[in-house]
Amino acid sequence: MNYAIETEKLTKIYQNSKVKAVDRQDLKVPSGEVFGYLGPNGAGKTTTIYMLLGILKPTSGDGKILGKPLGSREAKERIGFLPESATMHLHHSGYSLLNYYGSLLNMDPGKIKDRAEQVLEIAGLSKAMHQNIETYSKGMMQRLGIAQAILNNPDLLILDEPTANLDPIGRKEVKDLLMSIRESGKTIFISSHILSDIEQLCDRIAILNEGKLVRSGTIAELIGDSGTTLEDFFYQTVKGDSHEGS
Amino acid sequence: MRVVSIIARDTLLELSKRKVLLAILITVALTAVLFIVAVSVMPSVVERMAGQMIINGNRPAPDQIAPLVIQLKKQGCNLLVTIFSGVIELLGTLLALIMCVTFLPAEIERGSIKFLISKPVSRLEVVAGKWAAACTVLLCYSAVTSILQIIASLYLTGAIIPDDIHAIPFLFFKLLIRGSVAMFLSIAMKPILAAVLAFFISGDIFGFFAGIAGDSASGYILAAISYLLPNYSIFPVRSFLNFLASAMGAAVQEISIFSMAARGAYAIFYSAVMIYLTITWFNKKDLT
Repeated sequence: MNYAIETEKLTKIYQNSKVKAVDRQDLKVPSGEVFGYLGPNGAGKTTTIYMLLGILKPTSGDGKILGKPLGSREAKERIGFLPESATMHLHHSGYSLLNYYGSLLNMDPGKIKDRAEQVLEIAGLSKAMHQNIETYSKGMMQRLGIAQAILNNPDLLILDEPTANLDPIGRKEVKDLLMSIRESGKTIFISSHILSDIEQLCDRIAILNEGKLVRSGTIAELIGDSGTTLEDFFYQTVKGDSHEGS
Repeated sequence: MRVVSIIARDTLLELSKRKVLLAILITVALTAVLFIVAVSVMPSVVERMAGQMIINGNRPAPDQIAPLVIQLKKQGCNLLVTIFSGVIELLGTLLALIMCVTFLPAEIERGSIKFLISKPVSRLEVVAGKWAAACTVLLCYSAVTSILQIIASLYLTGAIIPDDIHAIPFLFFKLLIRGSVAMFLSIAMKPILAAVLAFFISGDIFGFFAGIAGDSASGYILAAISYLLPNYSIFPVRSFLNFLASAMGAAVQEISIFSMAARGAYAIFYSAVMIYLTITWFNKKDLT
């Protein structure tokens, strides 16, 4: 099997707090699938994603992303990323922001403008494209975040809580957008704790608790014919693991 | 270099939109207006003071006063140009500190660094882009304000002292060092603390004591410390000593081309080391 993301004993201990946020994690994300990365708050999901992209340096362990070293330039040229609740460069309009990011992505200058208009259309921001993004609502900001993540038509899309902070309409729009991207055969890695979204979107999931990967597999493999919901399965897995740990 | 220039251009755009540059330009303009008012008032003040002068119990004759008035006007103008240049330097220092202590911490704090680093952009390119933007602003500031100073000096005193000619590179070199120190410190501490430290850390006082100690072991040690810390005393911009020297009719010390080049090399080397340390530290830092 070809993997978009592979990590080997990936570990992160924060220097200041000495907290072990990620503990010897062996993660494998097959190419072309939608992968749900689940865990309660503070489980280490965001820390893992930041290590994949080079925003955080691993304390130990290593990995590959699209066959290249973690955080490498070659890999990042083919990745789209939406961080959780981060503020973009607020002195731009939606359109000029995408032009700025497009030039950083080394896209053909002639094509950036067309592509920017196209992804803003997909994200439903065409009317507000020349508006300063400081005036955008949370939902618009999230959709702009997705627009910048798909700007370079990436092979791997990493989304950290893509539906957080959105109202039901915004969530539905983002899910529909992800469904359409999924149809194109791209690898999507979604970190979330909104289990209903994950159930609808993902082929495969991994559950993380207290920095450790506790379960991984397709939803069918994990739940099978047990008749339980993903929510019940997640609850039992996390609670069971926490009890074993204590 | 392509990515560095893209980040530098965007940083300049942000500065212009955040009106930081506008605020500094307005302050410089207000200073210039104050300066013009002071200059226009000064001759009548000097004349009135000279008219009230009493020497040996007698009022001197007008033809006796005239050369004195001319001399006083000249020195008064010189003093004003010196004050003006001091204000310009202070504003430039504030500009350098504000820019350099906020560039990187602001990116980290608001989280926009995550968007940059997730693109094919290295940490080195982020620091280099920010630094290139700071250098551009400081060079423009030094050039514009120093040309203003030369025009003022020429118009008011009818002469340009060597300090005025050195003003453009020397002001720029000072701000370059100050900015690089501020940017380095901003990685390790709160921006306000970094700004205060970058303002006060200076090897000038050690250079002064090295001069007193002379050719002795302690003199050499003090001189070495004065250059290890940022030494701003080697970039005199309308120094007060030179002002006094010219006021007393003494020869103002000229700086040879070789000495100028050596001082420039010190500034460039010092700021390059600071930026190298910034990049090294930034590379190890968790950007969250």
